[in-house]
Amino acid sequence: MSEPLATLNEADLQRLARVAERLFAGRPQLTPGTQPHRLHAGQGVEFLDHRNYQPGDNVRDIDWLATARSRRPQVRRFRNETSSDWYICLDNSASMGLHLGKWSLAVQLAAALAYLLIHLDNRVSIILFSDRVDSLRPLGRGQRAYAGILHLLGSIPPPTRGGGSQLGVCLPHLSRGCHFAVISDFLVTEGMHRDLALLASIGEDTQAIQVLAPGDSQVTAMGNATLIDIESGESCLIDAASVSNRLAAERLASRVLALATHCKRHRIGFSSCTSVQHWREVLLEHLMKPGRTLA
Amino acid sequence: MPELLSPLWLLALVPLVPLLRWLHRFREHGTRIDVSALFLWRGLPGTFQHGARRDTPDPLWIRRALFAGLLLALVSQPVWYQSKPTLTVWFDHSLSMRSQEPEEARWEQAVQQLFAALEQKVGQRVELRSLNVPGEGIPLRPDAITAARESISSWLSSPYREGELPLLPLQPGEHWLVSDGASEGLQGWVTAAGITKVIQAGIRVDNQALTQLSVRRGLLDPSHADILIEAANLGQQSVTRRVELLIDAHSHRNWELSIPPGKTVTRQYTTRLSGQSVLEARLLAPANAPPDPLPQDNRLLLRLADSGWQVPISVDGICPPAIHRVVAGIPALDILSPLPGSATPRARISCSGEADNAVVPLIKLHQPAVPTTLSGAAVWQPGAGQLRRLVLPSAVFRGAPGPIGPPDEAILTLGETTLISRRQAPPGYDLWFDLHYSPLIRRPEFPVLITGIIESAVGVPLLDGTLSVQHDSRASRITPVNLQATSGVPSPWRVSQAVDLSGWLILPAIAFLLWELWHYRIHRRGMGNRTVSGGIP
Repeated sequence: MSEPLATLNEADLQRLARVAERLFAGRPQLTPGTQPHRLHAGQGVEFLDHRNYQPGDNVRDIDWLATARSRRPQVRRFRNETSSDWYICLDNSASMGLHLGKWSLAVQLAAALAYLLIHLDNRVSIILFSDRVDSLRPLGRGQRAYAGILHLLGSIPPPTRGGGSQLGVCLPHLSRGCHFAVISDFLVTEGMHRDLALLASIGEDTQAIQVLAPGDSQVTAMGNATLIDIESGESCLIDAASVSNRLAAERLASRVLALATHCKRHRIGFSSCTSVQHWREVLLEHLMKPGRTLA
Repeated sequence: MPELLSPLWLLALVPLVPLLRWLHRFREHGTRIDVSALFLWRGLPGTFQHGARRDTPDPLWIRRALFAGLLLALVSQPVWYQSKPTLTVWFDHSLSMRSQEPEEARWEQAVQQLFAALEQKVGQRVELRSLNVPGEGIPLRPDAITAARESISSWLSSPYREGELPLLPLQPGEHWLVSDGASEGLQGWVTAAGITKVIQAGIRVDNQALTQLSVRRGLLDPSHADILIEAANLGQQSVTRRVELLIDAHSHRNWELSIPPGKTVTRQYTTRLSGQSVLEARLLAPANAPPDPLPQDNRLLLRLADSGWQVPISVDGICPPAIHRVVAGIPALDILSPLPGSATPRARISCSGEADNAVVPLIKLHQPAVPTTLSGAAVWQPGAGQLRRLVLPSAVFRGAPGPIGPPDEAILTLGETTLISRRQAPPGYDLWFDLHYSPLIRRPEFPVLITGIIESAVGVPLLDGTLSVQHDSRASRITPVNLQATSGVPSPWRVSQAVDLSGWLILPAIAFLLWELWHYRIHRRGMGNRTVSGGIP
């Protein structure tokens, strides 16, 4: 097991799982039992609500009366009476491995999230992507699936240079109506906005956790320096005496804000953290935000 | 004008400067820092597009190159001469410099090279001097090549004579040497004289020469002469040459000689010669062979009349018979008739008592009036020269006891009696002993004594004399030997006139070093704040 996963404490995971159970226990339960039944749309027979029609929806689900009332195509959603399928898309690009702690936190978050989802009786798949799909673990349930996910996370470190971050390469491996969780630094020029919107449109629920490092917006050098983008290889000459790390940090903050706004617009759960934070703290903060569902 | 005493050190700049430039190839871009997202810095104040600052020189590289250049300039020993020295060009016009090279004569090549080198000496006083004849020299203008060529040509046109090299130490100033390096021992002189530049010419190495033509009377038959001819091959390959002997301009005999490299071959020939004969030996190359590079040493000429092969002498007065017998027994003497109109003798033997004012050497025989036998041994005096080698027996002289006349210089005495004295005017000898005394004239030393006196008077060896004309084989050697100038050792004049400039260079070098150490300290302080990933403070 790799170093980041070695620090993943089983006791912490179980404690977090109990918190998650209590957290989601307050939601309406349709069926009594020891395992909470989360309210979400899916395959079922009991009506849940309406939503706007999106390309790809089954035409037989269109509620024509509701469509006539709202003058927009509306489809009926039914309560999902089975457990959900989750795809965890973990950014495996070079930028995730550049700074100390960034990749570790991302791996810990992915492993902990997989633990929670499997604990809540979901099927979980994990996809490591960069500018291509580097590795994939298909949907699975139970301890065996979790062990496979841990093995996958520990065996493939991000490359030291080159590659890129293209979330779209995961789309062919995703199933419509499933749940998606994206863990990345989202440090690409377009910010993955388009791919996130696409995921939100085809998925039942989409979560995004941004992992950053302090060094992402800070450089220290004497005299002239050449900044090299670790993924694209592009370079830029700077005069370290006059360049401002503060302006770079402000630029990064504005991009984080734009990403948060974009996720909110598409009803994507979004959190941003830095590598100095503990994975449990990050995951709790993300789960306790309003509107989160894990099943 | 500043000069460098060891300019070769500057050659180190050739690899050093590109090496520094290569080592700093990334310095113009500064430290390379990997970042996760370059777009966060693009367009910010203090950033530039890649390559936008290539024109800005790297100050660190410039400083280090200057520092290295200053250090190399220091070790090159820069000096400033307060006045320009006189340049003395020693021109070697030995026999080998007259060798014919494929294009032109060796000395002409040397002149061309000399004036090409003198183009750097415009404005400096230049004097051209002969290496072989001390004291001969002309002032030389670096642009007057024609005048210099004429002067050198006049030196070369005079008969070759091997002289001593100029005495050391040379006069203060700068000294060059123009030579082919073929002369032996020249490198030692170049080193000792502090020659700062050697201009060498010549590539040909093969030369053959006649080194000796000699003649002597036959030991058994004095009417014949034994002739010896010697030829030497001073090249590096075996050659075949023909040697021709001419007597009185007529070809008399020739030989085909195969001469190994570095060896000499001799040929002997016996013939009858007259006293006026002219002997000439020639060394001839085959028709298909390349021309000899040095024709001057392929011919030897021997005039017997000028060399004392036959010495005319006259005997005046009534001389003792013993004198006539001795004179007649010397083949080299030609006894002239006492009649008027005969040829001028080279010496006279006079037995008359008359005063004589002849200009030719005179041997005057004085018959003592009352001769007395002199006991004891005769003693040669210091002025006797070669005659002292003759040991005379005791009690064979008879003469007048006591000093006789005012002799100029007594050379043979017995007690206080002078037996032979040398005269200054007319030059010659006076013999004061009795030439009729039989114990003397019957002694085998007597003819030797008389012959020795005649030889001393005429200055020509008469008994078994060998006449010879020679070429020194060392002078005929034309193989160039590389000469090394003493550029690293400044002459005393240069030392006295040079102002050392090193002090002016050490100050900026120290300043650059301190500057470098200051920046290194700042750089180390900055590096101490860096984390492993290179971009995190």
